[in-house]
Amino acid sequence: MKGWNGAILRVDLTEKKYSVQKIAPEFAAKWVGGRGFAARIIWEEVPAGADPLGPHNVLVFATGPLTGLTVPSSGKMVVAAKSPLTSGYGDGNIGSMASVEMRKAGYDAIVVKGASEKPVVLVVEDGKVSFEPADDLWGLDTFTAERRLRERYGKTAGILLIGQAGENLVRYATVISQEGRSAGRPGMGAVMGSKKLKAVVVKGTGSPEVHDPKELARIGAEAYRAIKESSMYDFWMRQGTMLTIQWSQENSVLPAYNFSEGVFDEYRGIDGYKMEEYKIGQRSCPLCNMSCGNVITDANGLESELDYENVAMLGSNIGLGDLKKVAVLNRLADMYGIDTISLGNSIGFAMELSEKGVIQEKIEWGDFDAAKQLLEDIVHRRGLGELLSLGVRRTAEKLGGDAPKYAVHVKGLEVSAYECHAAPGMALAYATSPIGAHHKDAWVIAWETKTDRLGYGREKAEKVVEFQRIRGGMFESIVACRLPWIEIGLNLEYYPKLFHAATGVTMSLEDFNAVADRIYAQIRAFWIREHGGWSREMDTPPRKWFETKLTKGPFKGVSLDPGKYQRLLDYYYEIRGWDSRGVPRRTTLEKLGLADVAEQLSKVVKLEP
Amino acid sequence: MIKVKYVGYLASIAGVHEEEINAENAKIRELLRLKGNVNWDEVIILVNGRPAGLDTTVKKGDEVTVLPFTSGG
Repeated sequence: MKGWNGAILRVDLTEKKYSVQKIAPEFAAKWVGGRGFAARIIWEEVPAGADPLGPHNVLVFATGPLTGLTVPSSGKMVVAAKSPLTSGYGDGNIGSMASVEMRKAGYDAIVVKGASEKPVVLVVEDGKVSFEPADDLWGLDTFTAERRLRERYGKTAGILLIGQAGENLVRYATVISQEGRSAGRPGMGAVMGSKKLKAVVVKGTGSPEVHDPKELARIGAEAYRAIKESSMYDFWMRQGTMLTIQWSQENSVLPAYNFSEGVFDEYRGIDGYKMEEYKIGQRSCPLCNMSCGNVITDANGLESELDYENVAMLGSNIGLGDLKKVAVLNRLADMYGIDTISLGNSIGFAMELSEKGVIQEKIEWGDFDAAKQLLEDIVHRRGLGELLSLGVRRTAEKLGGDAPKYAVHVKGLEVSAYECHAAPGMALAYATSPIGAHHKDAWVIAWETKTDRLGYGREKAEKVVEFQRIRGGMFESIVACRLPWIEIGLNLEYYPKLFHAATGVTMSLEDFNAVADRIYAQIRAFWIREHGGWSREMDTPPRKWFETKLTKGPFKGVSLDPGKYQRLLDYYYEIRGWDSRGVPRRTTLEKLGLADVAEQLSKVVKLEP
Repeated sequence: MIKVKYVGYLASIAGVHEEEINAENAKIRELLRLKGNVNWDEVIILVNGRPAGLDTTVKKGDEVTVLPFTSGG
């Protein structure tokens, strides 16, 4: 097998044992890698109803056949497990030297089971695996702990780790690398914390064998060149995703005041041009020539790496229009290892609850000191922070009363930084994302802006599925970053060519679509098994977008239409071959090569033919 | 006056972030500094925040915004 290493490192933290499992070529071809591997492994190995923070949960770090090769932005991996935030499938991708080193060490994935009694660092150096005590690292933030690990294992070691949020089992704790890269919004850091796994250190000396090294080098070089020659490249290198603050403001999708508005009067205080005034550096993932991490000095004089999502969520969404202060919150989130998106959503939620009198605490919009205090309280699970550390869905359920009206989530995952009162297609994308409300699978808002913005036509469901196939399917399984394609316009056709040069396997974009559909059906099956059934409510956007109206901007007075949304969801199910409940049909599963899944699933729900 | 705003790399190509043009009624294509140097499939045009096209007619007091299609992570 070329392209893949053909090996998974299996680790049992309870027993402190490990083994190497060979990957069958049929498995590799069927699931490709990354999210595909993770979805299948988690389905097969996490017992139904397992406590996501218990030893039976399985934590998967999975690369793909393009990871770590000299092709654009391929320093990525997927981190996945059953989510303690949503109780469904959870994953996230991260750019890190750990991805490259895992491939050099001879593995395509590392699968971690069990739980250690004491804090531990998993150290993988080619074929050698050890479990090192981490008592001296437990309690440290990710920046400090990573620096210590670097002193021990060298500058180029691949390191993934958690901070205090993961240790304290905050439900939206993430996995951090390289002082600012973050993965696994649905609480992958908490899963690490529950296993007492402070860090994973990976070092390798080999390299994956590829099918046609010369062709891979030629196409890879051509793709790198195409990125640099794009007319969008120079501006991208100036602002990266920070351009999107202004973009979203103009399009009335910038989340403001806990997703109450799509425009923010103070947006110029946090936009890409303001960032350029403060910019002191730029960071990127390995093997990337279009660095997206823009570094500024924050209000405390420390470095903070910014992008659109964290600035929108910790800025406009909480009514804070001062970039240097936003940068403080962002840096602290990275140090503690907590998701900036869910954090900004949770703080905004608390501010709105305060404003509406649902809670007694006084937390005003834009109050930086209060937001910072709340961040600390969430990470250390104190006072109101204890409640909010569970995520907005659970907080709302516990508070009761009017609280659920203001909880902006889907399936328990907080919505990321696109306001959708006036964007039905993007709302559908959030509602049907396989991990809960996240934009990574289908970012249709630009397309929607160019078409029938407020329409609910079938073409919107088709576009969501198209994007989910490419973004959530192909990019998450090969595993490479989608940004060269979506931000710079790199031709998608490069990827099947690169895939062939790496693996020798010929797959068209249509073939990748089929893999994507298989992955989506597999993930949906996991959710259904966990929930003992399914309902359309699970695929419905936050009620706030239906029940309140925008009061500002060009779409003033607009909200989502519940009846029309249901029709849009019908189109989506139909295109996917799922029934009107959102359950994959038996024929769909069989066509995707998932007859075994159909068999198991039929014990949970009646499958439509 | 009609205000025209260019966002992102389109501002670099246009050489200006925004400008006011003295016109009563005009088609958007007549007002833009972007001509053959952009792929129009990858450009979003808004008038007063609502979707529009190159041939949309705008009037005095309108605001035209021209944005790149790709963005957003």
